[in-house]
Amino acid sequence: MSLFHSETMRHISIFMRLDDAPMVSIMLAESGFFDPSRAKSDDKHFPDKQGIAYRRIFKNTLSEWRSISEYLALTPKTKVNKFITINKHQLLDVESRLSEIWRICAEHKQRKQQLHEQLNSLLHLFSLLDHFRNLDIDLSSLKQDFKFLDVRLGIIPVPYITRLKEALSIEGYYLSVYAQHRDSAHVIIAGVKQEIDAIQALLDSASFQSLHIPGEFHQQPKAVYLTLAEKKQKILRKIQLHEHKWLLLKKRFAKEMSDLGESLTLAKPYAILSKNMLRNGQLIEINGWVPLSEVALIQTILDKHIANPIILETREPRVDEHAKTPSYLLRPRWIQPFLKLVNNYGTPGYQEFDPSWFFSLTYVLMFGLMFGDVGHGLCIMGLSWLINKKWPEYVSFFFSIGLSSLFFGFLYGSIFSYEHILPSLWLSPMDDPMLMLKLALLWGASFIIVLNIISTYNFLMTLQIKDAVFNSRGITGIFLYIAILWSILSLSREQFSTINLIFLMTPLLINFIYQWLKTTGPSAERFLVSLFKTYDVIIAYFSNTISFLRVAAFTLNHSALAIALFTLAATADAAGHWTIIVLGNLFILVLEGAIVAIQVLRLEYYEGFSRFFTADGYLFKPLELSPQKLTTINYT
Amino acid sequence: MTTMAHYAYLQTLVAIFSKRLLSYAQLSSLIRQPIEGILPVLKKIGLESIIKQLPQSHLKALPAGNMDNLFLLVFLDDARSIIRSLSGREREFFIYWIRRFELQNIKTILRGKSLQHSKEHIYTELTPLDHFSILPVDELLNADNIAEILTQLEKTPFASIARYSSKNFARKQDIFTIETAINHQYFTGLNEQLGLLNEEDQSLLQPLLGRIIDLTNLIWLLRYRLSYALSPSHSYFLLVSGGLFLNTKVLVQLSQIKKLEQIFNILPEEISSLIKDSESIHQIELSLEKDIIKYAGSILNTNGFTLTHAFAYLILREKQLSQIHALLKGKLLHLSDDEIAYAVGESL
Repeated sequence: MSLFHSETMRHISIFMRLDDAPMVSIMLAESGFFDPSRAKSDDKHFPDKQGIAYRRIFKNTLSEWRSISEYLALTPKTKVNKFITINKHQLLDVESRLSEIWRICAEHKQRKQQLHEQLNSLLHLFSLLDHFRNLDIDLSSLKQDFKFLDVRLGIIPVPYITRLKEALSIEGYYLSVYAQHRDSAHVIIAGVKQEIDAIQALLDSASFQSLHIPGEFHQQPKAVYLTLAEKKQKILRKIQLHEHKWLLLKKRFAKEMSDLGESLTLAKPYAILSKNMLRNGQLIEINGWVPLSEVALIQTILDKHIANPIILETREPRVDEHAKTPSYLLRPRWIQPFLKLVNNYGTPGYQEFDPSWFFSLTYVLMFGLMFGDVGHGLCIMGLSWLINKKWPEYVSFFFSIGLSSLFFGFLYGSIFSYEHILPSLWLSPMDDPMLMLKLALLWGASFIIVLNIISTYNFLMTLQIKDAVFNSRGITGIFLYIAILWSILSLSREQFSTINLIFLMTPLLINFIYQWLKTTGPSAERFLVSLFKTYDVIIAYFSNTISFLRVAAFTLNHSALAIALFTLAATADAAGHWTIIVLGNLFILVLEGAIVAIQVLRLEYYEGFSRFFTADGYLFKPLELSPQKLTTINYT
Repeated sequence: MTTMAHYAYLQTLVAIFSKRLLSYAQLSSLIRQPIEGILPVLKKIGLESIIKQLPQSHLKALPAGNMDNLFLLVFLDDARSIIRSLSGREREFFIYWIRRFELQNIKTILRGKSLQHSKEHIYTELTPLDHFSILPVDELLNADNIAEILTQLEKTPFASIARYSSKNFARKQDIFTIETAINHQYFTGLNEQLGLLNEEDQSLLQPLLGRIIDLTNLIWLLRYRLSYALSPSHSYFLLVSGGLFLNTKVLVQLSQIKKLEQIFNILPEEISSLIKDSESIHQIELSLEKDIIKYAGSILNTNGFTLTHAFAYLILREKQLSQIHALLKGKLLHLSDDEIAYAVGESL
């Protein structure tokens, strides 16, 4: 296992007879170490067109299988039991059977939707009925178009009730409030019908919102309620019955779907690989990437399962192929959550330095430095135990940073923000803040120098020799940064000398000339561009270093928060005191803990990764023969 | 603490400010004087800022809009001094009273937007309210439509006005409906503000405020019924409560008139005696205004001091500034004394 690089990869070309291609595909997937790549067609080799129809059928079939599995909440098999090839006709049979199952499921689904729609519309009627619950009349009478009577139901703002009542009385209408909710009043208005609608304009001014009475409301509200409740019970019973049918469907198709899933799993490798296969007569060529350590395994598997001769050619990735070569990063389990954070920024290129180890160690170290507390550390470690079942992949992350916090907590003598219970093995940050700030700068400077060394290494590995020597992130950059630091130190001690000046100017001049040579255009423009780029290098180094002051700032912040917490607790009585201490510690643990975690990540990404990490690689993703992957695979 | 002690500073302030009010005789004599003779009087009554803005030759009139704004700013200065010396609910009541100018601005924006005027054009038509302005004018002017303006208004102290107006507007896309809702809500709010004051202030303010509401209700009612031909019930609904002489029963009866003359048999004696010679809605309005001015003057002349004195002063000052505005405008336009007297005297 390589600590700082991808595992060594080999390009592999496999030549076989046309009819062996499906089984070879299955075996390559079974090996779990073959990442297919597309090879260019030439005069003799052409893409295998037969696979096109196969892929189309597979895609449709997979889609149906997924829909059914999702609807019936089925779990696929964990592994394939037998290695058999699935030809086009067998795949069509699978498709046909899945279509039949899906038709049954779709009918069931449609009926389920209908029942839920009926239930929803019934619930809507209940909410409408709520408007009329205080009325003691047959609601159907309100829907009638009376010959001489004008009856309207609606809602008006409460402040309008009195005046509207008085205004309506002028027209011979009567208004009665039968319900009131907050600032809205439910009213019924009745009067003698007139030829011209004399009150509509008035009602508009009073913000009257007419209430519609649904067809179902043809009795008194209480009776309507009972009728609706009865209907609701019926629908709920139907839904229950339908749920039972769903369980029967699930039981009926579980085994068959599992077998069909196995067939699809066996069809998948050929469906994927046929896209990249090259054909020359009856000969098929498959290309891909395999870790060097697993080439023999591939050979063994193919020899064992394929009767006809197979030619397997391997070679090292060419220099021009490095960008396309997948990075296979074998890292211990505890580092995996950190690796996720690294991959969140980008995947290291095949030849690039993999910063996972460096990231993990410095992240854990900086978190502890900034959040050192024995009690809080123990809590974070406890959290890792709590999430063990639900999120096992993050256990090591929380355990590591908790342990680091615990370690630095002992050094600082801090436990649950109490600074005087434990004797500090080193010092309490607040005892000497200046020392903490100096150490933070020293840490930052060391961090940047190490990163520049890694950057130089990356340049060398990718044969960018000029950059390795002259770039501001190469050897020249290292010297320049050391010269800047030395100059600042000398100036602060009033010992700045000619040697300092020479040591500072030499890398600056080299960087300036290097920028000049890289820039094109008129001389004046090149001069200005080179000047500003060189100036930018100095400013960037300066700001990068200053940025690390936050390490000390958060260390002090942790102690300062503790002081604030105890000052606040001192103002309360005994019960209040302990409540404040507990809640305060919880506040520090959650909020400050989260902020420190984010700040450390920021330092790693912006002061670290941006300095050396191009992150333009892609991860090694081998074919897999797993029925469970059928539900997640993005098949294109 | 007695009321007088409570309002000691305000009393002094109103006493000083009251010296700025001209008597009927002083105002009449000004009409007959040349503009040079008027200016020293204007200076005495706190209108220096307006004199400074007059063209030196006095030959040309200032733009009318500009003059309106200058007079309003003078009034707002007085109002601000009075409000500053108040606190709590009394302060809120006065601020609410002044806020009616802001309502005018809301209506201007709504009308401008409905007529699709440019925001620059609408802006020039707004009344500058100086420190009293609380409307987010820029946001309102940038709104795409009336509905958005009403939504914006829901974030301001005019939220309740906006809420009811937007319900009306959603139903009936009509600016008139919104404006009537705004008026209605404003006076409803004014009554609520009055109800929050202590009982003594309420009982003293009510006769003056009641007269103002009577005037408002009667004029609105006449316009709704006779000019806009709204139905009796609709017209009645748009009126507000809190009047002094025009109670519900009278207003219901009034809402059913078809001709102006019919009101004289319905109105109570206290009002019908004031308007018996009026032949138009405009004349009725002037007559009732005259009564309000007279009543406010009588309050200011009574001994002792209450919140009503300060309110009466503001009513009188606002009215008198509009009269002086008319007088000055007449002089600048070289109108005859009789014409100016008509313009000023009509409102006297």
